[in-house]
Amino acid sequence: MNSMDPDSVLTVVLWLCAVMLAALVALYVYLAIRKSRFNRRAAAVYKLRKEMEQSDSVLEEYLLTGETSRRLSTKEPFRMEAIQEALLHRLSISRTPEERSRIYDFAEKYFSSQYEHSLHDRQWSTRMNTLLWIEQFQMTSMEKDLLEWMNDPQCSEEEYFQILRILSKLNSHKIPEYLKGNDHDLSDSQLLQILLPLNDELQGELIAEFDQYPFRVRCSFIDSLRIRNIRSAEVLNLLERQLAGNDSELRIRALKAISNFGYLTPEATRQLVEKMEHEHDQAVEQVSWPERLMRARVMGNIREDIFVPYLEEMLGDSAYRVRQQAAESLAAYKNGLELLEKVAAGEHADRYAREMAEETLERKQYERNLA
Amino acid sequence: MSGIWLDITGTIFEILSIIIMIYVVSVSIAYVVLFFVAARKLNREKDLNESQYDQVLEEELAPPLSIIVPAYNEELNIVWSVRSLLGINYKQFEIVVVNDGSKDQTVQYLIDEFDMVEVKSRVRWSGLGKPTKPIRGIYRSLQHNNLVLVDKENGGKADALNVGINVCQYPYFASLDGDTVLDQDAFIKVMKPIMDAGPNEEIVATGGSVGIANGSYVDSGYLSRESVRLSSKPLVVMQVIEYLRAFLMGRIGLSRHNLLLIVSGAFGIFKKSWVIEVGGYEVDTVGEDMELIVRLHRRIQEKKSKAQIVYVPDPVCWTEAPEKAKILRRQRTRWHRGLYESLWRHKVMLFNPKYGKIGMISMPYFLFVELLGPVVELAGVLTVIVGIFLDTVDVRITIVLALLMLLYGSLLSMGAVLFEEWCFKRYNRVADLTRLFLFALSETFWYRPIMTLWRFEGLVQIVRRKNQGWGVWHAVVS
Repeated sequence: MNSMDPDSVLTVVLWLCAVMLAALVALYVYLAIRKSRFNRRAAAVYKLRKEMEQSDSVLEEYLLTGETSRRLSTKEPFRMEAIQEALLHRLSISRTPEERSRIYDFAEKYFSSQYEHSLHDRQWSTRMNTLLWIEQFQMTSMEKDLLEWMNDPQCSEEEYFQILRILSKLNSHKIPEYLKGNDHDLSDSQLLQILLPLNDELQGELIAEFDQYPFRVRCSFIDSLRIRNIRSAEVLNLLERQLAGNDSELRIRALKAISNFGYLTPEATRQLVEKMEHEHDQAVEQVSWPERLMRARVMGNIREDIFVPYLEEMLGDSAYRVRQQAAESLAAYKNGLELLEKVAAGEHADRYAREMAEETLERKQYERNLA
Repeated sequence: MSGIWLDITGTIFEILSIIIMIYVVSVSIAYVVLFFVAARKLNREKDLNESQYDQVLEEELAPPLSIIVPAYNEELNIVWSVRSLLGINYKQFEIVVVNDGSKDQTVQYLIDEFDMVEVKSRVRWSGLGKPTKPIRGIYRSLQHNNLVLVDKENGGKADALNVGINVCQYPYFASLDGDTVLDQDAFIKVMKPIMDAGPNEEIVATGGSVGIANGSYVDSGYLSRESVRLSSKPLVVMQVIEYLRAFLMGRIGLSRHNLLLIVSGAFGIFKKSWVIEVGGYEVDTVGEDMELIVRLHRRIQEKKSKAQIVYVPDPVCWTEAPEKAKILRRQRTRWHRGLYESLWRHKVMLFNPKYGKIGMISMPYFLFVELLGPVVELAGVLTVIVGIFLDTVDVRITIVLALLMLLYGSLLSMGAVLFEEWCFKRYNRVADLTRLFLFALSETFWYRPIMTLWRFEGLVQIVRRKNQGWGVWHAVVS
């Protein structure tokens, strides 16, 4: 520092100070303006939205009759925002399909040109928000634009997935095609988000060509059938076919879905019993504990007397959660509580089984008292 | 004679001042880099709609989660905290309250309130090999299937968390501080990176931003958007700025390149299998949360795994910041000791290329900038004062440089406020903004020096305690 001329150092530093001060003040002014603008706009949106939610508003009139009025203009951004929000709220509480379809029509008519435009905005979050709106309003007309943007090298990973989700909500035929491709890198949760919204037609397509899909898609698809609680002969057939398969992951998921289904054909019941009998006799290598857990759950939900001895055996299983589920399942049988009482009273060789029976009885007792 | 001495002292001070100069410049550059990394990410995400979480909230897509709540003498809050946890937006979760040998009625209150009965059969352990203090009993609620209480003998927070890890059954667990106020969607927000991780990605831990609840209105365990207020106490406002800077700038910048060494102790989610693999929480340390993260990083590097520790900028929980100087001082000296311990324990990683970026960037950053920062700052002030006496330092330049640092610090703070505004808009009045701005300007004059002194005090304590031995450590800490 000493080697330099103090005065010139001083000048440089002072200049730096001035630059920083200017930046600081500019930053503050920018923030203050942004904030007050945001607040003003939020207030305007809020006010208009409240107006729109009045029972005699133009929006309500449209939702009732389908007739639009000039006063429903979406020209100014804040009006558009308010109407978007009002419609979205309406969608979430909507009672009739007519109303829903009117809302979708409205969005198609008034929002699509704006969305087309902002889909290509430079700001990532604007594009993402637009995609979220398109999803909420299920805008079929946007499909072409979405497919185009999806294949654009500029499209980010998040947008790509978001578009997939929209396509699935629109029941696009691109979805099965996409899922068949082996190269996707989606998480299980993301796969489910795509599989859950599919309509009966696409679902039928997936069931029919089940074996052609990659392993992870098959697993998630079975989960989606369970979550959506689909009860058809085709689904049951698909699930039972998996039980006979070699892959334990698929078997576990199928068992889980079947226990939700609550029914097993006599043929499949027989096969399951045979399998357990075989494992018991041969003392062959046991299946994994999650599979045993799911078997116990299935046997509790389907309640065939033939299952009882297997459940009683499972009360002494080496895995805690299997024991717990077995006790729970037994309790669901008509004479289940008596069976558990017998076990608790010492009719089971295994101490863990007796303890589990006791604990389950205590819980059931409490539940009965509450009811 | 005095001439020679004066010369030598002069040379020493000159060298010292050059070292300090280099230090200041490199730290300033480090901050600028962090600032721009964070700015890039947050600018991309500014004004993003909250509805991105709707979908994941509706369906049962989220992996089941165990929430571990260590409790020590919490009879006043515990029932209320558990109630608010039972009402979170999440599909499948269990709550494991671990009573760490409380001397009050914590256990009894819980048993009465939630109809808890002792579990008789053997409970399934997760297999954490570490010995823990003995367990007195495990209880399950008859009202809520997903509520478990473990009563154990006192062993400190880390020990309680270890017991919780052992008892909980799901693949991910969250560790919670007793006094944390959660955002209702906190878990879903922090789990999102885990849910979005593709088949070839693995996430070991995630954490979110912590806000300061002082001055805001907390209603039955939740803090709603409209109730957020900026406290009127200067000490709290300064901490708000500090938190914004730490979370929105430091952590985002570091997390972007998997360099993050801290997930807040107030709230973090961990993959259980990894935590068990590294042996759970370390019991005899002050900063068990940071220490665990460093250990996880270490294991990731040793296994040459691609697993990640991720930070979510969304504000997910709120904590009560100390309002009294005395308590703040205790907190800061403790934090500093915790930082030191974590670094000391894993000193082999420092500048060790085997540990990749963590060894070459994160560890040195935390050592030089965070841990030794106060030493350099004090030394800097001293050299300047001595320099002025020896007339080797130009007073004018000193003053202008000080001014420059002041403006620079304020600019960074305002940068953090800007990020807050872009993404979350928690403080919704212009007046709040103005106050944040003015306080940011004043920081250098009072808050920063105080923090430097307290952090230095933490270092002094480390040296003193070392000589005394480690025995007294614990009593002071807990």
